[in-house]
Amino acid sequence: MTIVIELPATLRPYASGESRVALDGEDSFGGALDALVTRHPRLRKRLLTSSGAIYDFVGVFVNDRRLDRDDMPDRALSDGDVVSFVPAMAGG
Amino acid sequence: MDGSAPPTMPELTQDETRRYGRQLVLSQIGPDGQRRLKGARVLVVGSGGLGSPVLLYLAAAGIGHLGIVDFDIVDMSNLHRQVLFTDADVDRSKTESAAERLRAQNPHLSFAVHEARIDADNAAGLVSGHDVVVDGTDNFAARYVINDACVRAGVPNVSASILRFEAQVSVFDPARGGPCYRCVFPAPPPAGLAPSCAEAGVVGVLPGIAGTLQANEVIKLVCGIGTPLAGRLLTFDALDARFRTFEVARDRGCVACGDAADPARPLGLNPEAAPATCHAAAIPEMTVEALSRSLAEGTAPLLVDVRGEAERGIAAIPGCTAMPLDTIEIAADALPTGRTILCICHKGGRSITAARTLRELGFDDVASLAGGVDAWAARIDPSVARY
Repeated sequence: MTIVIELPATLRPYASGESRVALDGEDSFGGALDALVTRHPRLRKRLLTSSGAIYDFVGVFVNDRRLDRDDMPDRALSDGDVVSFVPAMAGG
Repeated sequence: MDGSAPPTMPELTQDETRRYGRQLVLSQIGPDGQRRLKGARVLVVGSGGLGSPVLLYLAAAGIGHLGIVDFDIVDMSNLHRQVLFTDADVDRSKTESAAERLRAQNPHLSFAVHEARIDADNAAGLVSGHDVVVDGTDNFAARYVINDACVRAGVPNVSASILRFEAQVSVFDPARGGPCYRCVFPAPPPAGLAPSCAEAGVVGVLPGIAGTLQANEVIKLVCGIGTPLAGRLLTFDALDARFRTFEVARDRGCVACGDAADPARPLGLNPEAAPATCHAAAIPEMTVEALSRSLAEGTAPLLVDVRGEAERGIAAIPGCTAMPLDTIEIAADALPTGRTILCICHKGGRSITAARTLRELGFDDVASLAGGVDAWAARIDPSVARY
């Protein structure tokens, strides 16, 4: 199975410019997240606190629906699922 | 607002009927909708990039009363996106300049100017008495303060934010079932993880796109038409010309709007995640003399020339890696970690920006060459051209 992680433009510089990262064989959100930051280590500091939790300012969506923090990292993923990260911005 | 109980619906004058004719013929708006717009009181916080189009379009649409909150003065660097203002407004109060422009645009409206920085002490008073609030501010502290005041007053918050080529827009309206800003983003980012537009840049048309979307949501809310952008977070990527819509729901455990939220409790910001001030530690600078010595001693840092090809062709310090500033975020992958990186440009300005970008990318040991190639030519190697 393959899932896709979508990165907004603000995070792409930390992932070698990639906007979509395809991951094979990951069937949980936690596993996919580990695989993502292993492939792109500089994303770790942008997404995860020192304890390894997703920052509160980063919204996580699976197939465009928000993933509750209580459901991380065990949330199961299915083939073709798209995980999106949307960090808060404050510019006006 | 749900459109069923507008605060007032004043009659339209003949002049107003002529002015708003193209809107009046829309069945979804019509005379009743236009009267609702005339009776509406909307508070716009921030009259900058987002506030400019919001105010211009809401004034043009006939929102009867507009409150404008800003503490800033107009700077020349605002003009590429803050289309309310002209060169003549530079160094003038934004609120006064905005009100003057808007009065000229539509004399049928009333305006209240609040020359203040919104904060936890004044937010409730500013929000009070308004039907809709528009958040066009440029910092997280203000966004949480506006959210909390709107939640407690039961007023919809039409929110947008922008950075570089990306925008986010939503309507936070928990009084009618949707989430609030804290439901979606419970805490602001730690310092340094969220650069401001001043640091990261913003393309000028982006607040125009996001701000007009905000104005559209205000009109929908006031008139009670369409489907508000509540419960949805709209994102726009200007480079890909791509809109996305993400579903967001109210968090029943939210400290602001959740089931156990205490209206009397000050909320503030999560102390573990201080608001991003975007004033990161200063970038160290190296003099050209120190660079010359380190080159002679074989201890020089990695030299990265952040100018474009044309400038490098005019004058350069030998041994530099070329990495133009506009591509450095991507190209930085090729840089080694564990070695000091010295950014070099013409006169030492862009190199500080480049060094700051590299630091954001996780390169901790970065510096900038003070005075750049020009200082090198003037003080170290006269054979290098000055331009």
